[in-house]
Amino acid sequence: MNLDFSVVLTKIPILLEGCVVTLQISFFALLLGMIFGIAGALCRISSNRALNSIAFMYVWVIRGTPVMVQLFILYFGLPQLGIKLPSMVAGVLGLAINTGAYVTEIIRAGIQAVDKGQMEAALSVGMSFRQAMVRIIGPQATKICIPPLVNQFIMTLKNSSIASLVTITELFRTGEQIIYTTFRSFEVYTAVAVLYLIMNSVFMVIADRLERKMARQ
Amino acid sequence: MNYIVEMKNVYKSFGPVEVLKDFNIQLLEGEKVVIIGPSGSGKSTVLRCINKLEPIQSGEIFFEGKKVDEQTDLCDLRTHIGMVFQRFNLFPHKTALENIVEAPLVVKGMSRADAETIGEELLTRVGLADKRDSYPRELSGGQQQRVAIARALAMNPKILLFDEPTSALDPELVGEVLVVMKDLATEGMTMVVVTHEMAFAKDVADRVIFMDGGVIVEEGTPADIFETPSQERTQQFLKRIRH
Repeated sequence: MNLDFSVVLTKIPILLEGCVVTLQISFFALLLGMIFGIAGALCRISSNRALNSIAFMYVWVIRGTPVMVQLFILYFGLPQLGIKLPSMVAGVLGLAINTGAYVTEIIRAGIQAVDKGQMEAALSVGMSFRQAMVRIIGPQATKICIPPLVNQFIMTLKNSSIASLVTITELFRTGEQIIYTTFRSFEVYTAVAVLYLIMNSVFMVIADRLERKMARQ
Repeated sequence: MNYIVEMKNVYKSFGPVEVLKDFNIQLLEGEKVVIIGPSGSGKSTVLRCINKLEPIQSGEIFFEGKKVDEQTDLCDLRTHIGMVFQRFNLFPHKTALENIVEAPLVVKGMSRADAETIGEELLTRVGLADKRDSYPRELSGGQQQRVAIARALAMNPKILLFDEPTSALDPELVGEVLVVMKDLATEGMTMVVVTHEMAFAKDVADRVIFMDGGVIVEEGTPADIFETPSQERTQQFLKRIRH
């Protein structure tokens, strides 16, 4: 065996730069994805047929197609229609649209999992639908949604590696570039995997604490 | 005569299932009405139509003489009509006191201090002053239902609707809830109670209504209904529940 992890050590600063980009992409994709997801879920539970079908189509198309293809359409496909997105915008937007579809389903399921009697009780004391959603249903749905949302956040962080294919130099692409010059595939890919694991672990720990705090309430 | 609630020719169906057929009822202020009947007879639906948790297909509903229609502010209407549910439906993420002050705070815009004063008074009234900071999951079923009654009272409603308030309780916890309800009746609250507690009906009701198949089969004083029911369906129902 001919393994030499010292190569990795010398490249750590560059790999960490890649981590920063990965975190940036993931952060904005999650933020936007949550906005898309909340909007999507509200449309899905709305009695407005048009909103409802738009949200349904959104979830159907995005969940039914690979995230890589979605990113490629945004970055390589849209220029043909005259829409040129910078790689970072295409990457973040693509991941956000993808995340949003899953978040839509998570939040919709969370809201619908709250006992129907809660809405009735809230309405019966004179609350408006909006007040009931914000003060009574929302907090209970949030608690239900946290575990699947954490799952989805982890997926998005990992999926951000696909952004390397639209020329964003995030962690995975940084690793590949190191391999081009050092030919140390095993060591570098392992290091990349470990870095993803560390980032997700930090995230999982935070999520776990949050979940416990919510459960205590 | 001024009725607090009046339902005229109300028709209600869930899809093909007719729940209320040409239903009529008048409720007087201060009156205590108990509705009995087999399951599926439409008893609960009557209550849920009064506070518009259920829409009706046709007919008219009046609250204090005013017709409830598209122009009616439902939130305002519901502040005058308290409801107590079979499964309590307390807000699980809020303490007993928070459950009670929620509507005064959010709907009436009352100050927290004022709302909590009212909330504490109500908790004392239902005998749970020491449970103000307990969450619903820390309370027994009977205690939860008493908090739910206090929550319904917090908006100072003109009428209280009870939808089988003791049906989900262990038998030994039924009494404490009925005591609170009897106190309310004594204080003159207008009450409509759907229940299977015949002893409570005899004690408290001014009028007992027997429903079956979405219509009122028979109504009268507790003595009329329980001792000399004139309709065969009423007699059969009473025989069944007495065994």
